[in-house]
Amino acid sequence: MTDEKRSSIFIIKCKFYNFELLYFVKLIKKLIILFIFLLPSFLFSQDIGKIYSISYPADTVVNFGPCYVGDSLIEAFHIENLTNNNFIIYEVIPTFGILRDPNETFVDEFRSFKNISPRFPINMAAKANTTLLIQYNAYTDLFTYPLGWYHTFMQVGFSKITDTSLVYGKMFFLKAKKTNKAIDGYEDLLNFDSVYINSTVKESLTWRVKSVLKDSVSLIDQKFTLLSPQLTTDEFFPHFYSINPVFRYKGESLTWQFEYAPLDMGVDSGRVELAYKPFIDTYPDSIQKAICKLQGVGVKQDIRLNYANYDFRNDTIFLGNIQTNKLLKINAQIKNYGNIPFNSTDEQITKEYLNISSQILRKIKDNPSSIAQNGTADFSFEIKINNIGNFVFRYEITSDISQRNIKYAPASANKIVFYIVGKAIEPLIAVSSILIQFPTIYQYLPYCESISDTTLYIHNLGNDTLHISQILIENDMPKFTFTTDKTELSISPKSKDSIIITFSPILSKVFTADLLLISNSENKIDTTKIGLMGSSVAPTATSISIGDYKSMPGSIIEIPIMVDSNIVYSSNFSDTIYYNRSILQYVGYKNQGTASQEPIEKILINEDSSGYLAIFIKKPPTSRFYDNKVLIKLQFKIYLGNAPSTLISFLNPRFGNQYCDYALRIPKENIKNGYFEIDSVGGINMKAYPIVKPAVQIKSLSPNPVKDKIDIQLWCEGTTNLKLDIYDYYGNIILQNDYGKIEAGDYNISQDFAMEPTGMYLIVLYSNSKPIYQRFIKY
Amino acid sequence: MHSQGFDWEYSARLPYKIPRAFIGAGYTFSYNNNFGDFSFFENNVYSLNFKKGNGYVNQLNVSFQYWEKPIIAVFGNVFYRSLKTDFSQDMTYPRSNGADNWFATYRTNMNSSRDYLGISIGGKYRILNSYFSVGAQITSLFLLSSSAIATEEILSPDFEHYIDGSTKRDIKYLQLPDFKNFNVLPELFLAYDYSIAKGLFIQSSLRMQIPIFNSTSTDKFYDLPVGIELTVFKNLNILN
Repeated sequence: MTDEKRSSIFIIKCKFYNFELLYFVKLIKKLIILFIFLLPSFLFSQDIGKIYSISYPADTVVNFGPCYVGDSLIEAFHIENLTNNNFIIYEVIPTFGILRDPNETFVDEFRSFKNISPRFPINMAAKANTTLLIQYNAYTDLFTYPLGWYHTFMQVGFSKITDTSLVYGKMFFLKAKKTNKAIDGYEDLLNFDSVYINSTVKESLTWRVKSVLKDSVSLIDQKFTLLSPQLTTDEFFPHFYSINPVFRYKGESLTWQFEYAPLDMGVDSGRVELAYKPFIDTYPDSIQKAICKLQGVGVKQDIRLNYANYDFRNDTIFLGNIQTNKLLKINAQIKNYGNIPFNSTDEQITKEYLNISSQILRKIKDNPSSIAQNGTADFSFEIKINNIGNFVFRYEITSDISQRNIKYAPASANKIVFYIVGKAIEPLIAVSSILIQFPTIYQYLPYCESISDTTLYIHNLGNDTLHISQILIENDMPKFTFTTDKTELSISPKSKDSIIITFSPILSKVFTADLLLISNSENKIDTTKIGLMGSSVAPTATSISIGDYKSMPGSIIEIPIMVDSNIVYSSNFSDTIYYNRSILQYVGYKNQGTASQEPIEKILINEDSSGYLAIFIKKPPTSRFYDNKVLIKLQFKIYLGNAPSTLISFLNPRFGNQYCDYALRIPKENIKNGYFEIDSVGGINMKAYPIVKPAVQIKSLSPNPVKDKIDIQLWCEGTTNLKLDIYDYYGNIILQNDYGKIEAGDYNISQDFAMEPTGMYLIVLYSNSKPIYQRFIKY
Repeated sequence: MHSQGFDWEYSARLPYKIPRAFIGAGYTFSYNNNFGDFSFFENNVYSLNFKKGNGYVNQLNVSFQYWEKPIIAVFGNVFYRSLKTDFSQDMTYPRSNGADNWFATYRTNMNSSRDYLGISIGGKYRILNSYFSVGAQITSLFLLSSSAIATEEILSPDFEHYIDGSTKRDIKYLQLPDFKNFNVLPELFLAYDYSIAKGLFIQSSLRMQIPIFNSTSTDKFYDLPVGIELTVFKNLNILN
């Protein structure tokens, strides 16, 4: 920063500070002047003097009471100098004056009041006091001074002796009643003013009545008359003497107490009459009455809802179901059904146990004027409910009733409460998992579809219907590796639904994708993201083999199917094994202690007459073969068959699982067929050749060599067609006999052969099975 | 006191010194029962076990007998023995053509022949001063040769035959367990001596070999020959 810049900033700062300093000095000057002006007021009010009526020391209204015509009344006022200075009271304003009441009824009412003692000027020495006597005169001149109330203002004060300006003073309002009644009251009207209805406490006022003419005046009656319509039970409660009292002497005052407890709104009035005979000796029938009127007003503050932009009843606004976290504006109006103006001093929204955001937009107290009877006022506020569920909160209006001169207003009137109730609703999505890991899938294509699917449960924990408008899967390439069965979903509150996600890879690799559920749930964001992961691998290779075995006919041999440890990835096996069934015949299996031992779902092994042994072994879908080198042990019975040995060949071995029957690869080089050889039979090559068990057997052929006749004994196993041919050595047919259909049993066939030339001959017997050949010699 | 009880001194006037040593020659024919359990191989393929057989024994012997006491004699023989034994064993196999099963029974016959050179020593004891005596001997056999031939025939069913259509065949390449080259066996006999001339008598005996030792070194094969022996003895004055 350069020096020039620094200096310019400094100047700006100095100007700014200089301006503020001048403003501050002016403010101090103003405060000092204000203090000087206010100082006398402080001094007068507290330390200079005291002036008060002795009869009404706490009041500036001094009621002289009734004064009979021609009589007078005196009221005393105490005047005291509290300072160490000497002051003086002159008979002129500002230190003393009896002044005209601007609202006087009669002319020059003030002339009925005058000072009678002490004489002016009155010296008020330091710490001195004096009594000022003011007299009211009820002049007999009824024309100039008629009967009635006389009012005046009286100013009293003292000033410095040297300076007539007022040092301390006080203004009083004097009133007196000029009457021609022997007994009359201090008041013509007892005004109870505003009393809250149905209060448990009664408002009480006292009526003072004075005998102003003479001694010994007896009341003859005390009576209260209700002037206003009596709509309820009694609201005025006069307390009369049980015995009509006697004013024993002139100037004696007696008091009557009256209570007022309104039960309804409106003005109530009554009249009290005290009857007496003022001149009982001279005019015994003359009756006079001292009369006072009672007046009160029963008031009630009755503020009710008059309008709301939602349903409302009584003091409650029903918002119904509203969405959470949505700003809601409530406009309402109150109406004053009471009989007193209503003012709000404060308004607030109170809530409990709820996370509610609220703001009052317009308050009733913002109205420029009071709400008159039947008047209305609007208020409005905004709320936002953060949590789901039923809610209730209050709109509280603080009334100014406690600050007003309304007697016995109940505490409940201090606050007007409106309730706002409703139910905050919101769909709330919750899923069982945010990451779905599919099991590793073997790539079985083209044999099987390589598919895995899983069910994703979607819960709606909220209390509003969850609408999932879109169910998307963002796949990497290739597309459609992960798919779902649904594209949208609606779930009722507090319930769940599901979608099925299918993983169908076409390559052997790891796949990832994102499942997006776009819903109306406002839980943070409206999109729920679920990771999908799956992998596909090529099937594992395995091997299968059967060893070399030998055994003697008649024995049972156990031939195991040998496998390797990779079969633990499979749960079922199927194949057809081929062998020479004239040597081996399947009798059973053993799976105990093998890879196929329990638990097992199914073992089906069937042998057909051609030597094909179909094997199907299935474990429960969730289990796999055990890691055992023996898949299963096959049991065969050994026969002396048509060959010394046989291959035991796998035709199409397959290891599968619940997903595919080709769960494991078996390369050709991994398939080793078995070999079985008949053992313990001497001359096996002479014996083991195809022999067809004939249905017809030649039991004997005799004689052989034959000369004349040959006898052939046959045994037939069952019903068959029989035909006998005899061929010579050169293959020429010599004889043909067709015996047709014969039954089972022994037969003897005799054939004359005397005419045939010598040589070797061949008999061939044809039946339903293979032909039987037998040679014989003719000599 | 006379040896073997023969009173060859016809009178006192013709004094005759009774000989104590004799030499003789004889022939023994025995019926031989064989029992055992030995394997039979054809062309090195085990085929069956023979359990029982029978045959006969021809034996020529040269004997020396010395009467130690008038009632006790000791003797020794040198002999040539020829044994012929026939064995037969039936074998029934389950037979199948792949569709039907049945049983086929084959009978194997074997003729065995063995030649031994043997020596034996023993003693005999006259019973109650009669010409009957009982005796026992220990025989040592040295195998000179052995041979066997065998055939097999189909007993049932009738339609069964060999690949050449025949129902009987010779077993050309057969193997039997090896017979022991040397064997020792006890033998008991009941003998009767009959004088046919002075210094000359015939010993006839009924004898039985006790098969306490196996004839082969591997399998069970016992010979139980029971036979008759005739041997002519002539005195030898040199040992009197």
